[in-house]
Amino acid sequence: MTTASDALQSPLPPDPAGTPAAASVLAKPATGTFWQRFDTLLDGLSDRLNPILVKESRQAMKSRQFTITFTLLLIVGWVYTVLFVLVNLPGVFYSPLGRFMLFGYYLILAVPLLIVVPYGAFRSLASELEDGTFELLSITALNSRQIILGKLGSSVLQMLVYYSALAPCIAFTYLLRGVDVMTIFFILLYSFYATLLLSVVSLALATVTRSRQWQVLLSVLLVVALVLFAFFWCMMMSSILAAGSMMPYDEPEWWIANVATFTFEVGFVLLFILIAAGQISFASENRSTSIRIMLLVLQALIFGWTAYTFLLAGEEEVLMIGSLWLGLFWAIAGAFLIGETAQLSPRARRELPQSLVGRMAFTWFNPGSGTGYVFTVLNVLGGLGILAVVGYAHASATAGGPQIIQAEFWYEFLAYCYGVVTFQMGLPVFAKWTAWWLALASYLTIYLGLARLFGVLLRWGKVGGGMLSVFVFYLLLVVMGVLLPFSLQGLMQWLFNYGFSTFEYSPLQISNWWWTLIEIGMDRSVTSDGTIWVLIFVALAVFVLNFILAAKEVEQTRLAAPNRVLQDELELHPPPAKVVKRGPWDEPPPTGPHAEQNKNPPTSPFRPSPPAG
Amino acid sequence: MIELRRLHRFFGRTKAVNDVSFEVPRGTVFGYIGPNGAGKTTSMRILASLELPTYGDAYVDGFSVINDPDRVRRRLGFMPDYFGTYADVNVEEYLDFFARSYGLVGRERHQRLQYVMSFTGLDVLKEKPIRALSKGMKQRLCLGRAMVHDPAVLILDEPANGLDPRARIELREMIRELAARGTTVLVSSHILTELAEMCDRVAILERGQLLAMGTVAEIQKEQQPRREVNVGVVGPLTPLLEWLSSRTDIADVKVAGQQQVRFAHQGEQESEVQLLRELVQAGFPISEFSSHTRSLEDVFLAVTKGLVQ
Repeated sequence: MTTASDALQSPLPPDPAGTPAAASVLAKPATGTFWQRFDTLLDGLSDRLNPILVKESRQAMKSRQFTITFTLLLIVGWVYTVLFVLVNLPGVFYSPLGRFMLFGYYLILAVPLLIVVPYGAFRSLASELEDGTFELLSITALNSRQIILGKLGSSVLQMLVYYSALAPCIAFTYLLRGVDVMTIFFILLYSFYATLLLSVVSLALATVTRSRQWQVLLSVLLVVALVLFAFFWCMMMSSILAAGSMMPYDEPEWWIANVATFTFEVGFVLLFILIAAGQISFASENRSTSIRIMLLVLQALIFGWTAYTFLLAGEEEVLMIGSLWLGLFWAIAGAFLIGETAQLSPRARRELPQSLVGRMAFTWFNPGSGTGYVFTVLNVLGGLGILAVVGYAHASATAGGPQIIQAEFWYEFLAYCYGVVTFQMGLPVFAKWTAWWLALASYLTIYLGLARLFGVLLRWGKVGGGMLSVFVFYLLLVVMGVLLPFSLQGLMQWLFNYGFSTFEYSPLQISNWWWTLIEIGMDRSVTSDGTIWVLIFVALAVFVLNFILAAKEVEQTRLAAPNRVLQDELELHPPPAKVVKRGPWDEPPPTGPHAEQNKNPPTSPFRPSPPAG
Repeated sequence: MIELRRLHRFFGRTKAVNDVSFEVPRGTVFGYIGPNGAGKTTSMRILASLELPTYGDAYVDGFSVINDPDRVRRRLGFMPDYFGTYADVNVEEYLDFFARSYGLVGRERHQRLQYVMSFTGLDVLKEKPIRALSKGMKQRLCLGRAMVHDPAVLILDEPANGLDPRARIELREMIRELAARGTTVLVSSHILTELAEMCDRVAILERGQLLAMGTVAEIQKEQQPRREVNVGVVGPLTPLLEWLSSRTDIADVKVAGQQQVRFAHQGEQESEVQLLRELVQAGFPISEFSSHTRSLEDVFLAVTKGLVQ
């Protein structure tokens, strides 16, 4: 028997890299039996897969968790089938019971899909971070995106295995009648969406902390959240199943809604992949730009679908809901962007835009709290502005005017300008929706701006100012902005014995974004009493102050890559050889692996020697 | 091949690495010595592009670990002081995974795997689950993982930790073999005798600062410019003491026993031979002549102060 130490004592094998023998082996085609060749083919195909996916699949198939879940799924599915048939005998032969049976299978499938798979994704990455294997992984040629995609791919694979385990049972429900193929397909598709999104969010959550204690806490919170989500999701699915054949498959709006869902699913999955990848990438990488591009795409999706739905339905509430979504989206995204540090590594600076126009347009995509703030505010204004224009355009068009944006809008706009410049008209009265959008944009500008100023102050005093502290401060600010004036007014009412029957909106509530927006939505006096103007001026002041403080981030310019990097780049990606073809009768120069060999053929006894001279 | 330029790494007020600079040429085995908390692991982690320095930079093959970690990683294999293995994976699958992760495909991957398993002696254990491996075998596996992509630089943090004597000797042979094939190896260890045998050059660190650097002989000479010599004579000591005291290359002459004298002699081995010859020519009945050189352990103890932070 050979032992490991015996093997070591024997002469060491030659290094395969660079030896002629290795080259000849590499060039040799696969030989052997059909199965050996098939195995070689599969092995070659696996080279094209993400290594994490290959490793995770190997691990998952051997893991106890997968074996138990898969076995339980099969057993429970089988027991449920038998029990359902037995309980419903003899009606099962003639009643359309497929829908009820499908719901049972769906509940069985929901546990692995909505709880086990996302939690498995979370644990998979969290355990890598805890056990130190992530460090080993991070110094390989895999980049952080490949790592996250590999983990996600493994979740998808597990999902498909679970689906396939219950596939015969689900097919059986169709045979029982009562449910159509489209409903089955869409129910499974929505579950796929949900699991995919939950898995990628879980992966992003796993990157939040590397400390074991926090990971434990996060695990518990995640399990609770997943169970709750699964519960509500199943309730929602039961309502879809209850609708059954009434699903409007023949209506184009239904399909459009599905396309919209698909685009949002893809958008948010990509966003969370980028966030998770950014979290685990090396500190000198530019983690922010790709996320900002994705946020821009998502914003385009939100206002694009809102505008489309509005034009389709013609109801102004659609615009209001769309703008609320947009506001909420930027309120959350902006909270993270304003906490970024503005340090740009020389590596990141190598890829900065260089031209004046490029710098003007793309500087806001660079990492940094200042650029993040300006990026958020510009997007809020841009998004809400587009929705406003769509609203006015539609209102004008339906009013029968010939132009897209009609008199009302321009009149209002010019009146404001005139009033502001001359101070002769006093404060103009805003239309309801103009006030709504302006207030929403102002609140976002003010709260995000104040939180960013707090972060700048902390960093200036060298007492933190990281993403977490800015986020917490922002959250407190937003909550206190509502609670403080509310409590203050309540206290005053109580102190001065006004009673609470007249607890109405007052100028004291100007920081209370919640109440102010409701008041505007209800078209009350807020639109005419100057509240909006105060908000606009404060927002402008906060924005200008932040803009000035962001100057340093804007000053960053591109750095040239060091010579060693350029040299290495040239070695890795040599420029293609210039093909010089002097005439149409010239043959193209030889290409391919044997080009050099063909150009200088070796002398051979069978080849006539070239004539001397 | 490896270069540290004024490297600093602070954790709060703790200066884990404090202004360390050195260069390691290609194909060299460079030993990193220091007590616990000296900053060895931190500087190795910076070199492996796992941590950012507070100030300064480190370079591998001319690439900055801060700005071009991806290029550094292609050229570098790192074996940390922990195993970092996966559950439910056998030896071959583990190495295969890392080979794939380093971008090796097809036959090249298979050949490299075969080579690495053969080199580390793991080919006979390739089907064995990792959890069933002994500590020594796990160390071999980790070395195999670090060298699976044929890196130009290997960084080994305490690779001999917890190994039995035989496994240590085998590991030492492997490292020498890698260096002979042109790999630059940076290795840290507490087992100083082993480092002395294995390394071409060593650096001694304490509290994040570089205290000494060079070949073992150079450091020994630097720390001990005079060699301690013992001379035994048959007969009275007084003439010998007088003779020795009259010489300028000899100092600290002491009587070490009934028939022995100890003194510090400045010079190399050749001058010791000359001294012995002169003693004999002067007619002293020499019964013993020995000189003492400090071992790396002695040097380490002399250089470091046992300070921790």
